[in-house]
Amino acid sequence: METWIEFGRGPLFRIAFSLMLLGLLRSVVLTAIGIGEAYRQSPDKIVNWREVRRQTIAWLFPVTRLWRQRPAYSTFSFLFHVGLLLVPPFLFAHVLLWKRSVGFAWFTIPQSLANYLTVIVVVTGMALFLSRVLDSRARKLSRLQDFAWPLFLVVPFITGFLCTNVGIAPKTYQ
Amino acid sequence: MQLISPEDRGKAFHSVKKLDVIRRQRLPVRYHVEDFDVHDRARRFLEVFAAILKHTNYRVALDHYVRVSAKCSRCTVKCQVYLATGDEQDIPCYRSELLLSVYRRHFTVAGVLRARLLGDAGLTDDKVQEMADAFYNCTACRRCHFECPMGIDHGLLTHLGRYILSEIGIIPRALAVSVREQLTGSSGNTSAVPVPALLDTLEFLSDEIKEGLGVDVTFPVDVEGAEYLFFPAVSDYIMEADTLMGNAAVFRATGDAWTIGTGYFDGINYGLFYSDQILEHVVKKVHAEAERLQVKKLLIGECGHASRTAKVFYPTFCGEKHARPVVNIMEYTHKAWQDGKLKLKPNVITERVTYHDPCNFARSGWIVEQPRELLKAICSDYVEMTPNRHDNICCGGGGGTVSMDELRPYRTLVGGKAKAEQIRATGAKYCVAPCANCKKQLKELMEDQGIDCQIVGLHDLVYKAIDFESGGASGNVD
Repeated sequence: METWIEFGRGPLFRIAFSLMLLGLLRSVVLTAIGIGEAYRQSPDKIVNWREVRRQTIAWLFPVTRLWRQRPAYSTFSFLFHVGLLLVPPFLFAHVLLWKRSVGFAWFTIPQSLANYLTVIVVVTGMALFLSRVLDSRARKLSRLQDFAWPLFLVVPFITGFLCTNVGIAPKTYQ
Repeated sequence: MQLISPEDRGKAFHSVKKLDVIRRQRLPVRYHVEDFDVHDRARRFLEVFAAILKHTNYRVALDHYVRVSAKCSRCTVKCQVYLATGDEQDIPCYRSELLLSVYRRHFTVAGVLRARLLGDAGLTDDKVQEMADAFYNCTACRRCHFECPMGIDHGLLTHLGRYILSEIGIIPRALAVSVREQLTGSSGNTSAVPVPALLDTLEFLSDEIKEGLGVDVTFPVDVEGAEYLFFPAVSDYIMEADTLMGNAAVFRATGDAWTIGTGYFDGINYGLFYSDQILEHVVKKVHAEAERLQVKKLLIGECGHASRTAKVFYPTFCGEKHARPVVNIMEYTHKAWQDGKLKLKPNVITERVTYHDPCNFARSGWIVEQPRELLKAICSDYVEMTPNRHDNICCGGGGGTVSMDELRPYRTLVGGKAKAEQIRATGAKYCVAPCANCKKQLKELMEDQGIDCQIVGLHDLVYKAIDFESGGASGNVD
């Protein structure tokens, strides 16, 4: 068991981390190439940079735009993403792992906050899944992966929560 | 909003097309289509799609959309068509997915590999037929764009879908015939108005103004070097005399030099609805006339799509930063009023007035407050409809559908249902709709829905309120 855990902490972690970075990089590079190609090909080089900046900032904080219709869905979606983006990279235990594996570290969030955010991710993730299943409009539109994504994302949050709160875990490895 | 009743559904979706035409064309859509090659449509669709991707910039948007599309169904709350029918195929995201799935399957590496592994046959003729129906149920109003958390522009995808379909011959006959006359016909405009008829109309309108206001107002024709070259929707010369009289009266008051060109005088550009190529050809006709008369600016009349195509695409195809400025007549009138060149009598219109934001003006936030300020200046009982401004609901005749008379029951019972309820709730006597398309649709909507509200242009009302005595650079009152 110890060997498997070491494998997970070491090479497997580095592979997963590299895949994530490469995937993100791929998206950024492909988008940049696409925009560059579009700009080169366009007969009209006028770009309203002010509007681009305004829209980008507005969509980074979608509070004013998405709350008007379906407020419950919007709130769940927003909270889900906040937890999803904050907990994995800034959890103390993760940062420790990263320092051991890749050699550098950064700031962390308090464990109690991480716990709250994890519970929020799990609850809102399940709510998003259920709303997709129960809402006939979303159900008709959704493909298999659209149903699967919230569940996939919630699983590591549940296992992680049990790891850090061993008191409530049904089973410990030792 | 309640769904349409089964009776209304029956009327709205009833097709007036002959069965033998539907069988011959193998196209069960409600709009008329001229005969075209019906063979191998799926293959030809893909060939056209590939060519468009190669020669345009749609790929970058499509790449992004297929990656981020979350299928969350938020757009349902914004689409006036879906709110009326409740049909799955009217959900904006469902409609967009018709095209995105073709792109994903045939033009992405992942799609091609997946098809090889799982054996997906690809685009079928049935799906081409479904797209031909779906893309003309949408009015391309782009209201759903605001609700999409991923920023997908469903209106753009409707446009692209129609563009591809048009290249394989699936074009609504009403649009194809008008554009053919505009680009290759003897009149050179969409309503086939010959120049002598135009000149007669202008003379008649001058006489009408003289009779109504007691002032001499001329419609200058072919004045070289004028400040403004005027392009209303050409249908205004036939159907919207009051709007044109208001336009001319404003220029009479301000004294600015404007002109109508007899070489080309049509602001309409149906390319915006279904073809980028047509869009470019028409914009270049506008440019040729501006070059011929050496005018300084383009002035577009009360027409949403005409104004948007000129404002957005004139720089694209005709000189970029060096292109002539494009001004809409409402912007012009508002500025003249603010600068004191145009005086308006307050409270001339005492009946209740409301304002309909044409999508092509308001969705981008381009012209929103100017007409409101003018209306508040001349009306004693101005009310807003809800929602309004950039979130306003489409009249139901957008995206060129208003030109298709065979779609009238669909437009007024389905597409325009939400709009009719909005207008009815205001209790207004006048609804100002500064767009030729919106006006025609709303007039038919008021008739079919039994609402007692008169649809007018902004300048129809401004015309009644111009004060020639206390202002106006050339206020020479008889």
